[in-house]
Amino acid sequence: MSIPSASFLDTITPFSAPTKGKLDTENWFDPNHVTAIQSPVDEFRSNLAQINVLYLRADARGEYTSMLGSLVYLGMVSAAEGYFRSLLRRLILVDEACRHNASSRTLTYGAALHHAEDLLPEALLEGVSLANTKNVATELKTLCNISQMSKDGNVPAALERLFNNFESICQVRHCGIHRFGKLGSQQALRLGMDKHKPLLEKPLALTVLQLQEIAEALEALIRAVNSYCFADILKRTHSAGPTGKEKTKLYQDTWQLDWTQDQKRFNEYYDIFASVGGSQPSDPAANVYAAFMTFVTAYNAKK
Amino acid sequence: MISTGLDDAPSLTADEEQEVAHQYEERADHLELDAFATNTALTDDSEDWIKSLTGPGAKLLVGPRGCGKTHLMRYAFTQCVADPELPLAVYINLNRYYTLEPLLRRRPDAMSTFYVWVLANIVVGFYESVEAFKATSQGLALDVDSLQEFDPAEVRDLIGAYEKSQSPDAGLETVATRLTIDRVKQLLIRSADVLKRRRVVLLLDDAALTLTPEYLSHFFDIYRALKAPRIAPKASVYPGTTEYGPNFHAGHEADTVFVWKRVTDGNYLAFMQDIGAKRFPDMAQIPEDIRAMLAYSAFGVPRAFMTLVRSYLKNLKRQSTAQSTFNVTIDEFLADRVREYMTLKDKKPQLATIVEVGKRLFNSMVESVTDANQALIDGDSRQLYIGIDASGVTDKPYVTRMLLLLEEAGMVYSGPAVSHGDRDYKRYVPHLAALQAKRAFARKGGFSPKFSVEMLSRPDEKHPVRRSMSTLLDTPTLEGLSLDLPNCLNCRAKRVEGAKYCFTCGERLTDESTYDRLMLTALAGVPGLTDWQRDKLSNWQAVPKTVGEFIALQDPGTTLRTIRGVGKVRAKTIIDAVQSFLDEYLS
Repeated sequence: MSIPSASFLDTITPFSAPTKGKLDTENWFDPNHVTAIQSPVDEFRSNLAQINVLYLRADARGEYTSMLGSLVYLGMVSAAEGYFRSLLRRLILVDEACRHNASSRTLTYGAALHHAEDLLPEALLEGVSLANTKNVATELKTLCNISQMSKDGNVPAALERLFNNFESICQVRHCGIHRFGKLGSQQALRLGMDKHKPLLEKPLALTVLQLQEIAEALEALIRAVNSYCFADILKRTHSAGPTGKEKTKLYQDTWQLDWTQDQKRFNEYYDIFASVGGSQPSDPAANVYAAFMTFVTAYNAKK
Repeated sequence: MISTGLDDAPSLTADEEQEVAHQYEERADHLELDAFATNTALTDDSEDWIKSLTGPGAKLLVGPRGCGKTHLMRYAFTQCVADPELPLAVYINLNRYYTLEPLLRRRPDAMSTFYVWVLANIVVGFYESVEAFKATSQGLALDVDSLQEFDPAEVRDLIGAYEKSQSPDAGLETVATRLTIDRVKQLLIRSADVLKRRRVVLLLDDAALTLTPEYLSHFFDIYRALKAPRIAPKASVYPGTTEYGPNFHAGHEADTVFVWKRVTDGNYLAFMQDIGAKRFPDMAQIPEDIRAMLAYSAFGVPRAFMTLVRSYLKNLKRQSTAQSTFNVTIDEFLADRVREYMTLKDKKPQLATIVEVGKRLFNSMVESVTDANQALIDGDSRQLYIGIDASGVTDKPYVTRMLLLLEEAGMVYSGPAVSHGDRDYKRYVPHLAALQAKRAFARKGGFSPKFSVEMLSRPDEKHPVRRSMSTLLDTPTLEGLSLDLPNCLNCRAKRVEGAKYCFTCGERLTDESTYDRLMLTALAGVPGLTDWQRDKLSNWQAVPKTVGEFIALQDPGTTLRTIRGVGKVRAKTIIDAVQSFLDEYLS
C-alpha cells in the first residue's frame, strides 16, 4: 500500500507513535530516599564522586567522548548548586539569625501547604538560581549575614579567585543547557571576548583532565565557602550572643565554655559543616570546639 | 707537598676557634652587611653579575645552593646604598615560604594567602632597606612621611600569623586587604623619588620555592606584575627549574643570569682562588697544587670551596700524609653532596625513584668521563664533558626530569647542546669532586697534585664522551622510571598518573604535606648533633621529641638549658643544627 501523497506535506519528519500515552512523572523520583543525614558538603562530595567515576571509568575503558563530558559537566555544576541550597536550608533550620532573616521572606501558598516542615526553607529558594556568584553571595548575605559577601556579588577577597572560576564554569554551563554546548556571544562576552571570539558557535569539547580541573575548581570553592561560613557563623554566635560585644544581639543562647554543656549546640553547627568521609575529612568535633574556645578566650580578652 | 710548619701547628685556642669560625662563615645570610664590602671578591664575572642586579630589567639569577646568589644580592644591595647613582635596592628573602606549604594541602584559598605573604615580605624588606638608605642620605631633606603607607610592625605580625597558620585578626585582615601590587609599586616609586633614586631593584632571594611548584608559578605571576619601567625585579632560583607557570616564559619575561661559575672557563681557577683569598686569607697555608685541586672540586661553588679548605685543614691534623688528607677530604665532601642530592627524595617523595636512579646515572656519567681521562693521561687534553644522545632524553619526560634534578642539586653542569653527525647531544660536566674521587686525573698508583692540576689545565677534547641513555643505564631501569604516587586515601586504589580524582571511588587524590612530615622528625635524629647531644635530647623530659614541637617553643634556648650540661653555647649549636636541617630540607 502506498502512502497518500498529501501526507508528505503533513509529515516532514516521520516518527512512530510513542508507546506511552501519558508520562508518569510520579514514578521518576525515588520515593524511598531519606533526605539529609549527610552534611551539605558531604552530599556534594558524594554526588561529585559518582559523577567523577562515570567519566574516569569510561576513559579507562577507552569509551570517553566529549559528549559524555558535556553531560557530566552539567551534573557537576548541579552538584555545586545543590550544595548551596542544602546549606541555606540547613542553616535556616538550625541558626537563629538565619531563621530570623528567612522569616520575612514570602513562600508560595502551595509550598506552605504541601511541604514537610524541615523542607520548607528549600521552597524559599525555588525561584532562585544558585549557579552564579551574584546570587550565591546575595543569599549568603541576606539569609545568613555572612561577612564580606554582598548583594552586588562581592565576595571575601580570599575567595575571589575561586568564585571567578565558578562564574566562568557557570557561564559555560549556560551554553551546555541552552545551546547544546555551543559558545554564544553573551557568554563569550562575559568570559572575555579577546580570547573567546574565535570560538563563537564552536562546541564544548572537554578532555578528561579538564573535567577533573573543573571538578577540582568546584570542590575547592565549595570547601572554601564551607570553611569560611562555618568560622564566620560560629564566631558570630559568640560575638553577637548575650555576652558578645556586637550591638545587635542575634542569639539568645550563651556558650557555657564547657564541652559537655556546649556539645549539643556545637554539634548542630558541626554537623551542618563537617565532612566525615572521603580523603580529606574534617577534624573531630572536640578539636574544632577547642579551637573555637581559643577564639572565645582571645575575643573576651580584647577590650 | 705540605709545609712542616702547618703540621706542627698547635691546636687552636677557644678565641682562635671563634676567629676562624668567623672567617669561615660561609653562608652569606649569616654575614653582617658591613663584612660584605671587604670580604667580597670581585672578578670580571661577578662584576657583570652585580651589574645585572643593580641595572635595569627583570633578571633571574640561576645557580645551585651555595654558589653565592645571596652573597651577590647583598653585595649589590650595599653597592646601591653607597652609590647615589645606583637604584634604590630592596632585599627580600623568601626562604620561609615553606611554612605556607601545609596550607596548600588544606586550604583552597592558599594562593590568596601566599599572594599577601609575598607582598608583605616585600613591604617589610622595603622598610628595612629604606633604613639603610636613609642613613646614608643624611644630606638630603627627606620627606619620610610620604613613606608611611604601612606600619612595618603590623605587616610583620601579619607575616607571623600566616607562618604560624593562624588566621589574622580583624585588624591584620585590613592590612592584608590593603596589600596590593599597585599599592606596593606606588610606594616603591614614591620612595625612589624621596630618596632621589631613579630606579628600584627588588632583590627577591631564595625564590626557588622547591617544595611548592604551585606557589612558584604564582610567584612568577606576582614577579611579572611588579615589573615596571622604574621597577626591576630580580629573583634567585636553582638551575633545572621548569615550573615558572603558564604565564611566565623565562628568557622572555626576564633575562637569565647564570651565576654558577663554569669549571670549564679559562679563568676558573683564578676566580675561585681570588674568592678564597678574600674570604679566607689563611688559605695560603695550603700548598698551591692542593689548593687548586680543592678549587676544582668545589665545582664553581664558593661555599663548597670554603668547606673543602676547612675540612682539609681539619683532616690534616688526623691524617699522616697529604695524599690521605686530600682523599679523605674529597670523599667526605662528595658524600655530603650525594647526601644533599638524595634529600630530594624526602622533599619530593613522588620523585623518589627518579632521584634514586639519578644517582646511578650520575655514577655512570662519572665513570665514562673518568675512563676518557685515563685514556688521555699521556695526551695533551682533558675531557670534562659527557654528551648524551638527545633522542633518549627529550622525548622521555622522566629522563629529562632526572637530569634536571641532578642539575638542581648542582651534581652536573649543563653545557650547550652540540650536534655530531646527524645526532644531537646534551652536554654535561659531572661534579669534579666525583671525578677526583675516581682519580680521573691521576696516574695509577701515584699521588701528584701537580700532575692533576697540570692535566686539569689542559685544553678540552674537541668532542665530549658520547653516550646514549641506554648505555648509561640498563633498559629495565629506564623502563621502570615512574612517579611514586601514594594510593587513594579513601579507597586505597592505585592512582593513575596525572589524575586529580580516583577512578575507582571518584574521591579527590591528595598529597601529603612535606613540611608536616618533616615536622615529625625526631629532634634527636637531626643531622649535625653530637652523640652526647643526641642522647640528652632523647632522654630529657622537658625537651619535646619532634622537630615540629621544638620549633613551636616560644624560647627553645631556655628549654634546652634545663638539660644538665647545656649552657648558652651548646643550646645555640643545637638550635643551629635544627635550623640548618630545616634550611637544607625546605629551602
